[in-house]
Amino acid sequence: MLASPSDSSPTPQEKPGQETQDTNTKGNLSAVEWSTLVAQIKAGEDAGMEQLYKLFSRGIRYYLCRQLGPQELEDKVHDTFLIVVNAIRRGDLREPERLMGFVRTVVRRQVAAYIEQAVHMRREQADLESGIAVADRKQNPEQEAILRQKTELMRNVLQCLSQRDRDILVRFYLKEQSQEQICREMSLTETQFRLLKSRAKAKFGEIGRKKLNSSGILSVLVRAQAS
Amino acid sequence: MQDTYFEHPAEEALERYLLKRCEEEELETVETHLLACESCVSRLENLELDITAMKQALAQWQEEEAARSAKIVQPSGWRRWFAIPNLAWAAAAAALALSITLVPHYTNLNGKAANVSLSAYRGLESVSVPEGRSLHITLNAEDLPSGGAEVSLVDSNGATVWSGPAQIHDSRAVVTVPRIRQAGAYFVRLYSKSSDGAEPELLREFSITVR
Repeated sequence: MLASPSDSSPTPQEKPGQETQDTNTKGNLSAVEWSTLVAQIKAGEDAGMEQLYKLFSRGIRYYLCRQLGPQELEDKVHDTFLIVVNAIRRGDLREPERLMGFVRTVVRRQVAAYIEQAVHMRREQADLESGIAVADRKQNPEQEAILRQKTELMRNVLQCLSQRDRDILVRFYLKEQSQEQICREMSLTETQFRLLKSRAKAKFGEIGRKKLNSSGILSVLVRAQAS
Repeated sequence: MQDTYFEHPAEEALERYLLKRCEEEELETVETHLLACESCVSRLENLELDITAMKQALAQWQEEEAARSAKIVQPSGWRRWFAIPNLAWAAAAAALALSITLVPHYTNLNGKAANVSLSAYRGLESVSVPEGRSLHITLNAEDLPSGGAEVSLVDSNGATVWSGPAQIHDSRAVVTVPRIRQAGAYFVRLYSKSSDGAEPELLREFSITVR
């Protein structure tokens, strides 16, 4: 039995002024009538198609972009939806409640197929040409600017941390050591490790807010929100 | 039942997802939820940006730290008045003579290799590596069988700069690449080991930027 939207409780971590994602821990997913949705898609009703697209388009786009890059992304998203819809119409999805998992399976298969195809194409191209065209994977200028700003903020935060705290972050983020290994080698408990990371994040937020305040951006944002 | 997919993952779970440290069960739950939850995709995008910024800041910090520790401490102004130039020159000459004799035998011209870990995921992250230093590269070889492999480094035009053998073990392949003298975009390619004259298969490709 699916929980009704009213069953969901507010996220405990949410604070006023924080970016509002969903007002409850389960978001809107628990409110979706999966069997109705699947029945509508089977019947070819526009409402079902719309809801399916609304539910999954952002997630599928993000996943495909992350795994395969931004090239021909819209086509790939479209292809994925076609496969999902056709499979539902054929009756491949027997339990509508499993739609989310079903979509994941389809998307993962799509990714595997695209990678395989890309590998074959590259091999053929390599036979024909001495150089292989490389896709541009640069971020857009806005993302680059945000990243630069965030990196600068992070550097300010790092200055405020002790050498030991910085070492822990270097091990975790740069050297990609596991939490267990870091805790073992630096004689830390799991709680201490988590505290350190959350302390660094809190400092990051604090310095970020100060910067925004000093540049006057925050007051502009607050005024814009209020109006 | 897909009830487990409805809950928004905690930030730590999202971080593990981005850093590819989820256990199989958690990976399934987080990934399935993300496909249908716009707000969590936004959270993930922000977190990805934060992690990338954190990595870049840490890398810059480490570089600066190394530069600071390598910097020769100059004597302060008044101390210079008391320096004995003749002795200083004599010491310098002795050091030079020693270095000419000994250094070529004991020094690796590439200096200390820089450690680099690469993953084939194509998110926001772009791995920067130092120019003029050899690289000790760990390649993500998840889902690939253990055994021999070939690695090649190509520039942005696809021209091979270096290639060599590697071993896939514990979902990783580790290679040491000689120093790259020119800044720019490069690609590290992991190929299957060619056998019986068969063409090696391209298994993974990783992007690096030499700065």
